[in-house]
Amino acid sequence: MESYIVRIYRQDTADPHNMTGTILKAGDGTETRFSSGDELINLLWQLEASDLTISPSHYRHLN
Amino acid sequence: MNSHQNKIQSLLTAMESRDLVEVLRQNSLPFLAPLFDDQDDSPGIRVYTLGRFSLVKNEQAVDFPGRAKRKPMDLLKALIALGGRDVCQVKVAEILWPDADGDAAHRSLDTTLHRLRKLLDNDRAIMLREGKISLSNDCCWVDAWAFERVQGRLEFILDQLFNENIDNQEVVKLANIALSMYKGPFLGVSSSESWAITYRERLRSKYIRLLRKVGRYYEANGKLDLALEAYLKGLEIDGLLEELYQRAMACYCGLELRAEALLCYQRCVMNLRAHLGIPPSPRTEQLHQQLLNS
Repeated sequence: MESYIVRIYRQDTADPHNMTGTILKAGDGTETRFSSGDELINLLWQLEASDLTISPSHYRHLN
Repeated sequence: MNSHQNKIQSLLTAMESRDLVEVLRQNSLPFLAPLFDDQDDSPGIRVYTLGRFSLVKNEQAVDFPGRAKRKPMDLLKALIALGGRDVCQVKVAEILWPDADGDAAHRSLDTTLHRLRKLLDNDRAIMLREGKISLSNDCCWVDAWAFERVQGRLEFILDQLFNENIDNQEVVKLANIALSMYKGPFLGVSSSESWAITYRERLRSKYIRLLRKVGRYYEANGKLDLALEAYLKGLEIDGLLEELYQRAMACYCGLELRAEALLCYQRCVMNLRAHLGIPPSPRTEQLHQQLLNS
C-alpha cells in the first residue's frame, strides 16, 4: 500500500472545512493540492486510503 | 538514610539545581543517555539518522553494502523509527517481512537480530525481553533521540520565558546544538520506507516548531539576524509556511534590508501560487504594503 502525507497550510477557524493543503506521496514526492475538506476526502477516497494517522503537528500522515 | 534514599534525595536536589544530568550520570542510571552531541562522553555505537543513515562503531564507520548486512540495518532503522524501547517483536517482523507468514517472519527476525548484535559487536546493545525489543541507551547513541532531548529541554525553557525579554545563555547554547543536529529528514530524503514516515514527520514538525519558537525568542531579544536565520532554516524545510515568510519579512525590515524583504514576499507569492494555488493571506499583504510605504 502506498503512503501519503497530508499537510494543511491554511484553515479557516470559523469554517474548518475551508482548508488548503497538499497530499504528498511518500517516496516519489508527487504532490496533489486540495482547497476544501470535501476535496481532501474525495482525494483520499480515490487513493483508496484505509487508515489515517494524525501526527503531533498540523501535518497529517496517511498510511 | 540508605543508599537508595540518598540517591533519590540527590536527584530531587539536582532537579532544583538543574544538575540532574550530572547526577544521573554519576549514579550510572540505565535510562540516562547523553543530552548533547558530545563525542567524548558517548557510547561506542553511534547511529546517525538525520539526513542520512550511518553507523559508527568505536569511531569507525560501518559499511553495509551487501544483502547480508542490509536486513540487520533495516532492523536497526525500524527499531529507532518505532521508538527504540519495548518495540513489539511481532510488529517489527510484520514490517520487515510483510509477505512472510508469522512463523517464518519470527525466525527471520531471530536470525537478523543475531546478525545485528554481531555487527554491533555488543550483546547488550539490543535486548529482547517478553516479546519486546529495546535498543540500549547505555550502548547506543542515536542522533534523532539526542535531538528530541535537546528540543524538549529547549522548548521547556522557551515556554517559561515566553514574552520575557531575557537573554538566556542556555537558550543560545541549546538552540545552536538543536539546529545543528537536525541535518535533514529521518533516514534521508531518498528513504521511502512507509514505517519510517510517522517518526520522520514527527521530527520534522518538532524541528519547525522549534525554529518558530527560537525565532520568536531572538526577535524578542532584538537579535534579528539570529531570528531571521531560524525562519530561513524553516523555509528551507518547507517553503509553504506562510507565517515564516511573514516573520522573515519583519526581520529583514528591522535589519533595514528592504530589498531582501520584498524578495522574500515575492518568493512567498510564487510558492503559494505554484503549490497551493492561493494568494498570500491579508496579514502578508499588509506587511507587504507597509514595506512599500516605508
